[in-house]
Amino acid sequence: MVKYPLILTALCIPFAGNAEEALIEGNVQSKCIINTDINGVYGNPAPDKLSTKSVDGGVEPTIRFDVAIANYYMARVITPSSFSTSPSLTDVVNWTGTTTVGEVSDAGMSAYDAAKVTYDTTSEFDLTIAGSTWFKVDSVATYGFGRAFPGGTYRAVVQAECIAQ
Amino acid sequence: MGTLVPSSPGLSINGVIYRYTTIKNPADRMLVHLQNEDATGDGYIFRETDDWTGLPGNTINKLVSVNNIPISRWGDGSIEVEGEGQVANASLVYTYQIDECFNPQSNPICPGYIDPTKFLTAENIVEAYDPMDDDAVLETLEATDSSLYEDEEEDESIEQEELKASKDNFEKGLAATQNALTLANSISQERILSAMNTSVNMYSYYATSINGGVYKETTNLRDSDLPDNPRGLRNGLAQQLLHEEMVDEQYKKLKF
Repeated sequence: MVKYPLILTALCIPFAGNAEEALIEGNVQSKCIINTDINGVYGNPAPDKLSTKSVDGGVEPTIRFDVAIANYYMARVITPSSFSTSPSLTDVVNWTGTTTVGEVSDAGMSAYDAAKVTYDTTSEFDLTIAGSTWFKVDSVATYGFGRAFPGGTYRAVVQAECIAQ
Repeated sequence: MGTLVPSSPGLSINGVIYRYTTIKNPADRMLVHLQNEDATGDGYIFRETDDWTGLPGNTINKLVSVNNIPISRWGDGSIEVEGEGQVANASLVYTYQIDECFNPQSNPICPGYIDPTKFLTAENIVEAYDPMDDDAVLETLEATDSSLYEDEEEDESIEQEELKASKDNFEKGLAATQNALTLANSISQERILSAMNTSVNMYSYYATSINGGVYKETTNLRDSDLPDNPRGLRNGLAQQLLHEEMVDEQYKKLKF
């Protein structure tokens, strides 16, 4: 009977002692950088059409993806599906857009186009080689059924993301 | 490398940036070599190969770092294609740096700089001789005959006047020539302008074409007897009578 309190006391010692927490901190710097090399311009080849294609008098925006390490990132480029700025539009705008590999820093990157995955207005490219890839985006908007776009300024946004795989 | 880079001592190439577009069928084998010969030996001092085999053509934009290779080693450059395909719109840029301390004596801050004044000793310092400090020279230069000195001054003033007069004449001559040239220029310019205006005025007429082409005959005259106009006959008779009356008038005057 005398032994019990002693044992209990001994067992309680570790629980009654001080607790310490060691902090671990670290920084991860992204190895993928996105840069807009050329901003786009809409050309207006017909009253009902706005297009960034050079044949239509536009300028295709160019986005550069720099990856320092291969096979860890995916480039996702989403072409516009609405105007961010425009005059009041009462009819439907039909959008088409494509993203293609414009320039490469390694010959092997020229295979990205064939391997890209496209859905809706999104194109995804596996960045399997370290280096820089320039993606060209073309965007075409047509208004209604042969209706003329109202006069004013039109702006649209191309979204580019670098997604860690 | 020729004149691609400045010919400064201590210049070394530290990078090559190139860009070109390949035109090829995706299935074809194609290797593109960008290279510079080694100017001091065999082989290449720089050679970069892009393998486009089985890939579609595209534009490549690439930076290749090299380890500060002295310019003296860079020989002629070339782009070589192995396999099927073409290279278009090629451009190549060499980036370089210049070591200012390549010759340590070029700047006192360079390591290994030796101060040249340290080699000067009392023995090899040469004192410069200034003749104007030499009494013998000064004595020789002093004027000994004042009258001769004055004559010389007078002669000099005459010479200066003559020189001035000839200068004035020369300036007048130049001015006259200039005026004549200006006049001639203005006349010739006027002629040129007149000729230009004439050509502008006249060529517009020469160049004008009148639409319409050929104006075809629309009146048809059938072969038939055209009757005399009786009204014309009467008119002709009246004119004849008047003519005769007028002729008779002059004889009346003669009779008077």
